[in-house]
Amino acid sequence: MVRSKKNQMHPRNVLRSPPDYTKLAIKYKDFRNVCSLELTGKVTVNFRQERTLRELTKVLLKEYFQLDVDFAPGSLVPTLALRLNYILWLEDLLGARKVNSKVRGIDIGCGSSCIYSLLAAKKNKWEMLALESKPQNIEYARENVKRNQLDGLIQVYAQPDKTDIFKTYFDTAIDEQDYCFCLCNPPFFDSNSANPMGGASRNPERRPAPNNARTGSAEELSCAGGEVQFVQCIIEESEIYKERISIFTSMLGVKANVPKILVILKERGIEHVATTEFHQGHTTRWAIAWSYQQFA
Amino acid sequence: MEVENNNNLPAKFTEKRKATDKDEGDDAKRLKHNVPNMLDPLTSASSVSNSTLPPPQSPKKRLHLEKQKPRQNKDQNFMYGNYKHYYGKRILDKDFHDIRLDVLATQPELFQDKQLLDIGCNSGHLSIEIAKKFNVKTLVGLDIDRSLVNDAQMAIGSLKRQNPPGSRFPYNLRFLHGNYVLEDDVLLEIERPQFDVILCLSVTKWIHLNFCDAGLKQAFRRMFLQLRPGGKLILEPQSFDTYKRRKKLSEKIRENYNAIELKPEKFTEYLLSPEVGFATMELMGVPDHCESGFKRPIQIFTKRLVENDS
Repeated sequence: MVRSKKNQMHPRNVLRSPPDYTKLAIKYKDFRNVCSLELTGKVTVNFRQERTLRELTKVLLKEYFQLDVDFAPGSLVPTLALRLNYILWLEDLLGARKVNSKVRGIDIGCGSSCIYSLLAAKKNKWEMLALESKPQNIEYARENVKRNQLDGLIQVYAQPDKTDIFKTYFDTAIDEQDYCFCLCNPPFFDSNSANPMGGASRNPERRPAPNNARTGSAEELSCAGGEVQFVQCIIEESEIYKERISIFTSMLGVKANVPKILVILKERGIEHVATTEFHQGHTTRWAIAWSYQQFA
Repeated sequence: MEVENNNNLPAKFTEKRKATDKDEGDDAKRLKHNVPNMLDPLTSASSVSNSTLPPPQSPKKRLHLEKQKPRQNKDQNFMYGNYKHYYGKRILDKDFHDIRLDVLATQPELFQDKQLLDIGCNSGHLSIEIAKKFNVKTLVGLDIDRSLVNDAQMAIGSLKRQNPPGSRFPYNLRFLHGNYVLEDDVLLEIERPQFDVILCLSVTKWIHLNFCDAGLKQAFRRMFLQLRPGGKLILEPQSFDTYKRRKKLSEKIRENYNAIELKPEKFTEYLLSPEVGFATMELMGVPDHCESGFKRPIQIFTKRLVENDS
């Protein structure tokens, strides 16, 4: 049996204590409609349905952060616990650098929810530059920022394509500012491989299927070369823009890819590297940070 | 103080016994059997090397009897009607036969191969009998008292040891702990039809006294929503004159009692009204040959088979 690792969530994660679904269902009508009522009077949530996941993240964002978020149909529905773990890790990284001035960050591929930028701005008043290439996602992201009155803190930039990360923006935009960090949730899977979402589990019988329904469009979930290729692009560009961005970070979905990225960083002589794990529910993700300056 | 004679015992056993001179003198205060004085260094086992033994005490103190506070109200523990020996008090035949079964048996087709819910099943005795006697498809029992639900589950456990897994009974039985009255009325919006028959026997008084008119109305509406089209609610409500003696159970219950407006004689009208929506009421019967206190009419409320176009 795979044990739940939710007690290894970041200590400041507000979802460490599980939400009371019964009270949430009483308070929010849209959420109520995707819940089930047990005979005992308790409300339960079926994570295997996309509609449920969407309403769940929406209601948690509303209840815990007073954020009104909408997701483009068919687009990736983020899970709040994981996104929070990432933001909290960034807070820890930045804290170590004793940043006193305004914190500015870049959200690479913000998706239709723009959730990282929304959380960063709402929770910490960080200024965020959200980069996104898919037109439908850009439209929804801008709506989400506007609806939550965070236009002053978040700018959604329309990336022409996915061939570069920062290049188009830094080359064309009139922006002299420096950024403290960048964050990224890359497309995990490799569209070139035979079975992109198959997973390379060594023991498929003992590894149970995930608890929740898969969400997200093909281009959000996969790209040529998968997350390794994507993060490699970020690394290549980081050498060019190391004066503009202090800490580069990215999430990784597959444990086996972590050492691959570490090797790439080592080959390029990048010394200041940090890794971490994000635990929530039955899922673990990894993240890597690198910098051309001391982490302190 | 008048002692309730709940078990129909002869009067001489219901009087409290008073100490008399006939009782033994000081010796009565000693333990009846000869227990070596563990704390006496001379008689205790030599292996006890602990030198921090407390000084010898009188036998009674050594027993560390838990100080039982005099109960203000001995009914305090049963404010939900969750009597521990409920099925020992109703008048039964020798081989455990609840009289209500006779009334239910007049229409066995109501239960045969059906999915049942028993609200306030207590220790499950009656639920088990019904499931067995009428060959139900499934029966779920719900009770607000966790220890009673445990008793019911243990009863199923021992029945399973007597019945091989191939048989339907008792594997089609399940007991759950919970409050039938929901935290909020809005949760009724997501309630779904899932039962053919709902049994609500001698429970309405307790819901009424603990959760007021609002709670009882919600419970009635929930019963309707949980029934499939054509489904039946079998209701055995207590009459209002039996509520009075229970209002001393707690301050809250006393307040609730005073606030009641929907009296039991109005239940039928309410259940048939659009607020709940049952189509018909039929009197199933009244148990015979039992103490008048338990002679409660058993009613059947039926949910319309076909939905109205409205």
